[in-house]
Amino acid sequence: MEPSVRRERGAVKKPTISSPFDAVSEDLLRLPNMASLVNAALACKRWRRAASDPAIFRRFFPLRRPPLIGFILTDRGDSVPYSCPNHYFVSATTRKPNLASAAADCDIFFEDVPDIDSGEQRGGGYFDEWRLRGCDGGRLLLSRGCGGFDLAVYDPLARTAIFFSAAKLPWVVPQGQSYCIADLAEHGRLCLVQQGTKPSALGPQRQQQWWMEISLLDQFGYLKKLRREEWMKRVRVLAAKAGYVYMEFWSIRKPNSYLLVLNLNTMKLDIICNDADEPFRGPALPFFLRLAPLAPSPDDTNDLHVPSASA
Amino acid sequence: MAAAAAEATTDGGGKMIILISADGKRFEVTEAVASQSQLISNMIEDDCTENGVRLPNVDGDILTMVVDYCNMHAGDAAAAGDTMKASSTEEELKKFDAELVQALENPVLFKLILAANFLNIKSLLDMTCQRVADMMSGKTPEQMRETFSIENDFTPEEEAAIRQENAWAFDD
Repeated sequence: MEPSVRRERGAVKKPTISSPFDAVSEDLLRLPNMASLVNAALACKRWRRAASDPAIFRRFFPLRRPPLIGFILTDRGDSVPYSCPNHYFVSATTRKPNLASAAADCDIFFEDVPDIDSGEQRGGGYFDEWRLRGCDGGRLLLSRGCGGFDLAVYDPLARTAIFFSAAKLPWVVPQGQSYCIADLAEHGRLCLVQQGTKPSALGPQRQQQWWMEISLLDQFGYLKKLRREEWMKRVRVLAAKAGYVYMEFWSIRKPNSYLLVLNLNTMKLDIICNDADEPFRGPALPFFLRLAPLAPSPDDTNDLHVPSASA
Repeated sequence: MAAAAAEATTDGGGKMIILISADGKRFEVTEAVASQSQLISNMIEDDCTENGVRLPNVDGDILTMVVDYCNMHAGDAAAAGDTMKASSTEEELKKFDAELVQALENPVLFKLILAANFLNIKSLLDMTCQRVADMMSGKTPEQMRETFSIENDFTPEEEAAIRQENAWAFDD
């Protein structure tokens, strides 16, 4: 009976337009905002496919970004983490109450990662723990075990995980969109995981040079104030992607710091206060974004955010 | 080659071009009017319009609208007699455009989009697609399905999943 049901459903589909030229895509390109696009994508499968087109992404990408939920800071440096560092979470959702609840519910210590059997010898201690290795698209890449061969992609909001082994990764460059990418130094490769597909990996990481000169202190006067009053003297770039540069503004004398998010399109700066009383830093795995598959989210309210100094 | 049967010259000096719709209707327009279509403009350049331009993808009623539009937008070169005067101001044009797309039933509007695409008339394509986008925006999926007579082919689960995945898009 299954096929007949399918046929019926297929017949019901009314192709208002049927030609290689896709008028639906042309229409979607002219929509004013993300909400309309998502609503259109919900109308039917055909429109959903059209809305997922790369051309649509290109149109909406400069306008939108996934909401920044927060930063995960650690108390360790850049090296391959053979031990499990402490984590510290800085929420970036103070101005977005509807996101704040998501952030509050986020499993930042991977307490909810389901148990799996590992082939490796389990000696207890450090190697038993999941270690945070990367984050992208709202997913965290975790590794476990002495060689870091046990890998998991964990969604700390939904608390779901998929597991795989680095030893069995197909070393090919995948197609489509990446959801989680991390530099697994001990394997000499980048690990790239896509949603809904098998994990994949890229070859040895190639250095990519990117240069842009921005004088933060000249452009954003508030930073001068922080520099003067709070001894914040150093800026470290944590990451740059999707038109944003994520930085940390910190002092060697103090545990607290400021996390800076610079929108390269609008040159607006978000300043997020990290008021930890231990020196948690963000060089290794600084933040995570929740990037929903269809397209990123509005960023219309991305004006300069100045938290009250020394909160 | 230059002066073939289907071509005529008006006192205005512009060559006339015959457009032939899928259902055989013939439209006589000046070169200036016709060449707003990139497709026809290319054909004029290649000198292959003397026997009329057959447009097998475009019905007569749609082509009527396209020709009206082109006549209206041909600017000063469009003094091709008829009822249209060349002196259409920008405001008149806007009004004309708005009335043209506003009144259309959806199937006709979609046909017009396809014709604009086939004939490669960018301004008309922009305008018609924008009209559809305007009709889409601010509507719920249900309202969109109603407006465009689309059957919902998602299962409730699929729909819920997409909604959940993209819930943030409705955040400010």
